[in-house]
Amino acid sequence: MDLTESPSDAAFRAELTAWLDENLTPEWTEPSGDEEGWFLRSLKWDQLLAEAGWQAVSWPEEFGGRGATPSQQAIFDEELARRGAPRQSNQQGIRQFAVALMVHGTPEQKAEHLPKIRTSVEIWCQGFSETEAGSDLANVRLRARLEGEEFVLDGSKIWTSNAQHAHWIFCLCRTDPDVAKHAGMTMIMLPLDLPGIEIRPLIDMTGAHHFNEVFFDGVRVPRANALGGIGEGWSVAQTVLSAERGIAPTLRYATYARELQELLAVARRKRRRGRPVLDDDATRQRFGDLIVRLELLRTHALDIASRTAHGQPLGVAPSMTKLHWSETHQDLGELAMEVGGEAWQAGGSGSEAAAWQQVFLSSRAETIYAGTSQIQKNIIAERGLGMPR
Amino acid sequence: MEFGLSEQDCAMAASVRSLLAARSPRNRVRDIVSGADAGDAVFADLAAAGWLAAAVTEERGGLGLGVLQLAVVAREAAAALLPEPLTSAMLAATLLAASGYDEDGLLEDVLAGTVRLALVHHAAGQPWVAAELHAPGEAGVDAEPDVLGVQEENGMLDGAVDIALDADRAELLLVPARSASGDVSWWLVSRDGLGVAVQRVEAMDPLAHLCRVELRGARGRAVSGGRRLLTVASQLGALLMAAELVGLAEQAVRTTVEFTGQRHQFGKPIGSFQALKHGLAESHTLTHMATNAVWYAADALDQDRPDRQRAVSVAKAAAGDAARMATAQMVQFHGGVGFTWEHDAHLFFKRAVWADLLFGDSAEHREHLVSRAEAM
Repeated sequence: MDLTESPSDAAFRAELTAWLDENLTPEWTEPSGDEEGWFLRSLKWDQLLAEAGWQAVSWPEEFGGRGATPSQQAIFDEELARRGAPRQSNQQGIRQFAVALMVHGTPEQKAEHLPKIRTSVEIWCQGFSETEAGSDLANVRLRARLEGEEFVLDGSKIWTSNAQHAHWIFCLCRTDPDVAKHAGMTMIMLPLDLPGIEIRPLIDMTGAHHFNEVFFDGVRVPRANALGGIGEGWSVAQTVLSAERGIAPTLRYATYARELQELLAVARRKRRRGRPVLDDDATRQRFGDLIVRLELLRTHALDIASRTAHGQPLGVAPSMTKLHWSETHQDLGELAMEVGGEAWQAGGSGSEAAAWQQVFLSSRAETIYAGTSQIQKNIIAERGLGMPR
Repeated sequence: MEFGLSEQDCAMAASVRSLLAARSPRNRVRDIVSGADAGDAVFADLAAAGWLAAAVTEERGGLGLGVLQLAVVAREAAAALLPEPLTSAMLAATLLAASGYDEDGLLEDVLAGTVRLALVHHAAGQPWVAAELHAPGEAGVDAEPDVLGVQEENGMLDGAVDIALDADRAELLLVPARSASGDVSWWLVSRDGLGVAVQRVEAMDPLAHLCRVELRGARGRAVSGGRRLLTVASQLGALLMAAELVGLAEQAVRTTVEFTGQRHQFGKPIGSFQALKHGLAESHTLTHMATNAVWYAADALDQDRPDRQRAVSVAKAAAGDAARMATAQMVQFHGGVGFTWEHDAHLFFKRAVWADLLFGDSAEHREHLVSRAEAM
């Protein structure tokens, strides 16, 4: 076992932190107010990163990246999260779809889209889930009929994050309803300003507009917009889903560790029954448990980074990661509401209470998206432990 | 960067596993439980493999490996329900070497297993966790002597320790004491010496040798090390118990998965029911992550990293939770059979309880982590 940072990783970190020290000035890290404000600032930050060569660091250099290794990508995520840098505006494009494009795309498709994804000129969203295809994603019904050199799309997608800001969507479509479920799908890329597309907002529990429904009514898309072959959609989808699951747990760890320290400070400050909230033994045990679980996430990330770097199989480790961080963060949110007590139930926008309500509420989705906790446990049991299906 | 066990470590684990399977298979363990066997015959073979010396430098006659390799061995020992005091012997031998004790060729005999040594430590009701509280960048404060049950004045030892692991199977006891000056002094005390009483208590776990040690005007040979050695003892002890705990947890999960694949009810293997899949997925995940934490903490001790106490506390707390969860689940998922004396499940279940309690239970380590975080 050898955890010393390699010279190249140390150099990467030094170069990055020097750039951040100079460029991640306070106006980037102040609370951004509403959803729109958040998005616009993220977009500007992404453009700044791209201009400085700090966007899409793990992409190969030929596509404008730095060829950053998994450990360097983790360093990138960790440093930005630790300093409270804005979240990405084009996360799905850069970290998920671009991976699928590099694996399955033609040279023309890569040349056309990758540079624009990197510079956030093209923001992408993911058209996967449908009302009848959630955990059972292979059940998608959005029909793409091939007519000559065009696909004609009819149907809808749901839970499409960021569709209201996106320029393009990559859709998992049913091209052949007559073969086995997993064999009759094709991944199709299309711009969201084509005739026949309607986007309807879905407001979530936090009051934010993050998700959407997207309706397709006779939408015509060139055949050349298929990513991978016709009928290969499921395999392309798996590439995207693996990329999504693989996104550095380091990012989550750094963000949640910050939150936990802040909540500790609140618990020290606030009083209940005549003494600091943090003096209560049961509360201390809750905090201690969260510290343990966050550290488990950190060492788990080290293990994954090491295995990836050495080309060793990950098995169900990504499912364990997702299950673990989402449940841990939910517990952090629940503890926050207890620590804050009655006073935090009334919190105006921009207040400390409102920020923690946001953590509490938004964490409820974390055990649902990107594979529910129940699905992750099924995967861990069946593929990890070999339990009978 | 390489995390976790190297190929050599994995090979070592495999060779430990096969030696234990050959020398201490499950039916032998059951004979020991029933009292038909004293449970010490294999110790010489285990010592001959050199593991007591794994974390001792080559200059001092050791293998020049580290705490990580001790942890690998301890994990296998617990998974095999090894009755021999291998883990406690590794702990005591490593501490003796760390103290620099150089007389009578004793270290050589201890490493070879020809002289049996046990650490005598915990006083009931006292916290065990090393009080290495400090802000980042500041010098550490070593363990407080108040936690010790034995006092020393002018070389005379008085006091009692309620749970000394394997003290009855050692001829020499390594005893930390609170000296009259307020410091920590260390002593090698002969188990059969004047004023020394070692009594194995009847424990919930029939395989455990939990002993009460009483010292009345006892004397021993002085060992240097003071508070620093007490800190090392608490960290290493906690880490090796954590390694045992993940070994218990992993074996419990493995056994339960196998059983649920074979046991049929309602026309199917019971492992096909989601309730059991989800339960095992949870314990497998926690065990897997706790194991990573154990390796990380072992490496932190080997590299003397500033975060070593925190890493040990994380590992111990997580391993304790994992073992109690997985062993309880083993009983539950085996149904009625899991509750019998005849089935091995209760041996795992009971061992997990005392292994969690020694060197600070999960709750104590969580408290320690909060105190440190508070101080920051």
